[in-house]
This record gives sequence, C-alpha cells and structure tokens, in this order.
Amino acid sequence: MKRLAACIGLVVTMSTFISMELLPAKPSFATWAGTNCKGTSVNTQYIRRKDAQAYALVARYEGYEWGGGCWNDNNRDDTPGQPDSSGEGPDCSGLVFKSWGLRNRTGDNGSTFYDKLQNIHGIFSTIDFKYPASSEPFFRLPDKRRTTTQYMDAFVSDTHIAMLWSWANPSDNTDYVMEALGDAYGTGIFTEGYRFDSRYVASRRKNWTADCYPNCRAGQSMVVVR
Amino acid sequence: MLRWRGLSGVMTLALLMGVAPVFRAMAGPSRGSSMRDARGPADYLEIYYTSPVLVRAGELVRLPVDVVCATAAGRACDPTVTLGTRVGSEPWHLVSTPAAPGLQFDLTAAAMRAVSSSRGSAAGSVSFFLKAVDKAGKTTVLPPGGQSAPLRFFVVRSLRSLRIPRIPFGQLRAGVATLSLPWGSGRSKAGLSLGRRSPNVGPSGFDVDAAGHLYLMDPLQGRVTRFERGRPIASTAVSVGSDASIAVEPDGHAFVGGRMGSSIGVRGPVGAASAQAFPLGLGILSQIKVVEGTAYARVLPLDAWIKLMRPAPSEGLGGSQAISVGAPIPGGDELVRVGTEERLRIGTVVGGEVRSGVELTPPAGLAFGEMALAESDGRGGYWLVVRVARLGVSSNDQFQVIHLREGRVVDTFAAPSRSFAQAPPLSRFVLGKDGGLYQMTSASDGMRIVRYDTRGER
Repeated sequence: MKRLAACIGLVVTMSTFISMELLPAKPSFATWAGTNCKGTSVNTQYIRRKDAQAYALVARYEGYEWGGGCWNDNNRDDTPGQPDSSGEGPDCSGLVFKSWGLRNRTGDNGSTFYDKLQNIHGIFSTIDFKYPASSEPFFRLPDKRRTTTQYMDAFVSDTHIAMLWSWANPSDNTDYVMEALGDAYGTGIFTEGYRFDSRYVASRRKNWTADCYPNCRAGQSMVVVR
Repeated sequence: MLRWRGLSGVMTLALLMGVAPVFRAMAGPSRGSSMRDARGPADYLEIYYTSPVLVRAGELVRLPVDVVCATAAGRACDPTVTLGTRVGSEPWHLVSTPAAPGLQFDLTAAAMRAVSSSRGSAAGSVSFFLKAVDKAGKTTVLPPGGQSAPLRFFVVRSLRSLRIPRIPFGQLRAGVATLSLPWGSGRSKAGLSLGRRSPNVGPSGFDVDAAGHLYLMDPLQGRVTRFERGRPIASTAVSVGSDASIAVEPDGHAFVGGRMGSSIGVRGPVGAASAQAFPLGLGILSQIKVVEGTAYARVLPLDAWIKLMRPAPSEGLGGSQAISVGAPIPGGDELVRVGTEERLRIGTVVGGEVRSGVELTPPAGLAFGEMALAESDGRGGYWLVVRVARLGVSSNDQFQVIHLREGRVVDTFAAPSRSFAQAPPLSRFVLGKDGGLYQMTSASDGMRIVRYDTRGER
C-alpha cells in the first residue's frame, strides 16, 4: 500500500513537471505583451548605424503602444484599436531605445541587443533625448542641416522622437523617418518635415561603430558615371 | 516487478524532462528569436534615392542611393546596387558597386551629354533605373519596370534664378476661416487622436471642388465629409489608413488612398457605382491628383506619379504602370519641382522638355524646408508653398506662399506652420478647383480650413 501511494505521488509530481515543460506557460495576466513577450537581451561589442536601421525595420507595421517595447515580425498590428492594453509595438522613445541598442542606465555608452520580443521601453523619455545631460549616451547636434545629420540620428521635440531613415530624401525636401507615430498610425516609415520644424532638435547616439566595420576598405561612397 | 519497471520508466522520463532545459540552453536561442544567426537571405531589400529632377548643364549632379537590406531577424546585410543610365538613343550604361553608406553616383557627364545630344534644343533628359541584389539573389528594381519604364531627370542649359523676398517671422497673412470644427465625433466634429510620446493626429487631408465645397478626409472617423458654407452636406464611410490622401474632381467626385495593411492603394470615385480599387503595392502614398478625369498617385520611394489604371490579371504591380517624374497637369504636360535647403526649382515639361524653368533661393541666413505645395496657376505661372526656416540654436520657421509668373514673384506672403494636430506634410495646403488657396490648421479646440486672399492673381 505504501508502495502504491509512493507511485501515485511520483506520477502526480512527474505529470506536473511534464506539463510545465511541454505546455506553453500561461501568462500571469491576459495581455498581448504578457503572452508573447519572452525575449531577452545580450550586451554587444559594437553597434553600427546599419545594424540599428535593420533592427528598426522589423518593427514597421507592428503597431504602437504607449510605454511599450515589444513586437513580432508578422507585418501587422496584433492589437489594433486597443490602446494602453499592454499591446504590440513600441512608443516613439521605446523604438529609439531598442534600435539604438542603448543600455538601460545612464552613463553607459555601450550597446545591447534586445530581442524584439523583449518588452522593454528603456529609461529615456523624449525630454531626455531633447535635453540630454552630459552623462547620457546621446547628445544634441548643433543644427539640423543635411550636412550635419546622418541616418539613424533622431529628430526630437518635447513629445515625440523619430529616427532619420536615409541619407536620401524625397524630391519635395521632406525626410524619410522611422517613427512610432501613435495608436492611429502605428510604427513605420513616414515622410516628415521635422528637420525644418523649430520644435524639433537633432539628437545623436554616442559611440557608433563605423558602418564599414570590420572591413573598412570595401566599397566607395562616390561612383562617377561616364 | 512490473510496478518497479513502471516506476523506473517514469523516473527516466522525469530525468529527460529535467535535463531538457539544459540541452535547450546549450542549443542557443530558439528559431523564433531575433538573436538567431545573422546570415541568410534578406527579408527586406529597399531602395531609397534622391532624384535630381531638374538640373542645369555644367553643374555637379549627384544621385544619392541608399539600399536598406535586413534579414527577418533584424540584421543588416550587404547588397550590391546597379545604376543604369541612358541619354537619348545611346545604349544603357550600367555601373555596379557595393551599396556602401553614403553612396552617391556622379551623373555630371551624363547630364552634359543630355543637352549636347539634343541639337537645337535647350533641354534634354537622362533616363535611369536602380537595381539592388543581395548575396542570396533577392532583387529589387526601382522603378519596377526597370529599363522598359525608367525614371528620368531633366537637364536645361540655363535656369533663371531669383532670391525670394524676406518676410519677418510672425508677419503672417490672415486667412478667412471657411470651415471650423471642434474635436470630437460626428459629422460636425473632427476626429483627434491625442498623442502621448507621439504627436496629436487629426484629419489627414482635404480638397476643394469647383463650387467651393470642402471635402475633409477624417480617417479617425473613417469618413469623407462634404461641407458647404461650413455645414456638412454628405458623408461617406471609407476605410483607409490614418495617413490617407484625398483628391476631388471639379464636379466633386473624390478619390481616397492610403495604407491598407502593409500595402497602399487608391479607391474612387468614393460612393459611386463605378468606384474602383487601384492597388499600388508596397511604399508610401504621398499625394493623389485627378486631372481631366484620370487619377494619379505619387508614390515613395519611387518618387514619381503613377497613372491609376487597373492592371490586367497577368501583370504584376508596377510592371506596366505608366509613371512620370512630374505631376500631371491639364493638356498632358507635367509639372516638375525639386527642393533642397539651398534652392527650389520648378518647370513645366512640354513634349519631353522643360519650359518656364525657375530657380528660387532663400533669403540670406535661412533655409528652405519641405515644398508643401507646387501647382500650375493655369496661366504659365506657379503657386508654391515652402517652409522657410532658420536652422540652428535659435531656430524658427513659417510657410511662405509664392506666386511666380513670367519668371518673377508677383505675390508672396507668410502663413503659420504651427499646428496642434499633425497631418502629412503635403496635405496642409490645397489650390482648390475654385481657384482659392487653402490651408488646414488646428488648435487645442479644433481644426479649421482657411482661405487666403490671393489678390486676384490667379
């Protein structure tokens, strides 16, 4: 009888263990982020502008969530019309934080790769980006001229931040920017006139690694066509 | 004995379950993780470029080209880009290079040949296309038709240059409000999405028909509403993205366009039995125009106008689309314009050559911003609206409206650039079919559309 009781107890224990291993974990509360956002992060040795650009591109079409910072790559907003629900997508400063690979503390210019499915916004707000302290891992540029800015720099106002997407621009003299534009627009590449809007300043991440790294002899930036 | 065998089986299973997480950790991130191996084909391969549009023979001509290449995991990849150029009846000239950051092609020589080869003419053009290929062979061509339907830029031997008059910041011409709507829901209100860590967003565009009726595109409420003397007359439900565009024919038939999922498209005439959908594939829809009964869409990063015709089922998107660099205007001509911080250029393409070309420069110490409007005045002149900005520590900006005719400024005034709710940059000003110049503005209590006195200059 004792053996039988021991066997039953063991089977119950094992069943519990097996179900924990094989079945997906239930979220502690039923939100999109709670269900889907299990990613992690790893510190990296360097970050190039083109890495940041490629990273941000995955967030396009994936929605907007105030205070959010988690998305997948199915090219649609999985929580449309559900603002403030711990839904899919970043907000504007969360998108910049993860794309720039900033570390989640001040005074650290290093870089971190965050899984897109890690729900992290980061400690920096638009005010931090617009009025940075010297210890922050970004700084304000002296002006916003095309000769001053580089792609993946940001235009930032008191309430919004967007990353300059390309060194090429439309012929109407707007800019392509990558931005989390709100619940109505979602996250994507838009054309904007932030460069010439005096509410916006230009901000740059510190410590970018050159795009040509680790093979800086390859490629040329000017090709003459005969 | 059998019981002990069963017990040992359960124990073995438990052991396997216990070590599974260890093996999983050793195997690295799961297949769905964005930290997987960066190698692999590009999921995203997109070309962005800045078209020269209109150049003067002899000046430096640069074509910046940016190829964005990324894997599904969000890792950068390294494609090659090919530029094809052709002047007149020459064969295509192809140049390939790694798509390095900051890449520009120098087309000065091709531009010079364009005017040398056009004997007896003061203008010519250079045709071009771009092709990007990643290491796995994924290919993107801009425009999609490549050599068979290329882009082009125009070259003139000379271009009249004018410096626009300086208007002090804040010295604005007051417009007359023709429509005022409080924020809210319903036909007599305008939809507003209040931003938090994002801009406020309101109606995305409007247009005016020949009778002076206003058509407001309010995507937040999913409708186009027609207003007569400030009152809603009719409303039609539409389902397009928040950055939707609108254009109406002189008789009021409206076309709307915007994002539909990850692609863009145009529909119209709205509410008519003959309404059609025009899918445009991936990209950004910048503007819509309706000219002489035909709708056109300006699409980015193509940076060209597409004549909206339904493709045959056997044709892919873009394969047979008629594209033009200039905006269509009545009579089959095109209006070309291009802006930089240092200059604006505008001209009319007639029979493949640019006529009435003009270059404008900003007042000293100021820069040009976006060209919010560029239209023909129907009498050989142009209406332009451009943001004028002082860049730097003490920055400032406002819009400047400029009416050009016969190579001179016949009227200019400043208009406000501040707005409570954000709208797409080329949707704020409209030259109505009734001849009026209109601007959409907004404040914390609502939005309004004002009409400017253009002093009978149209």
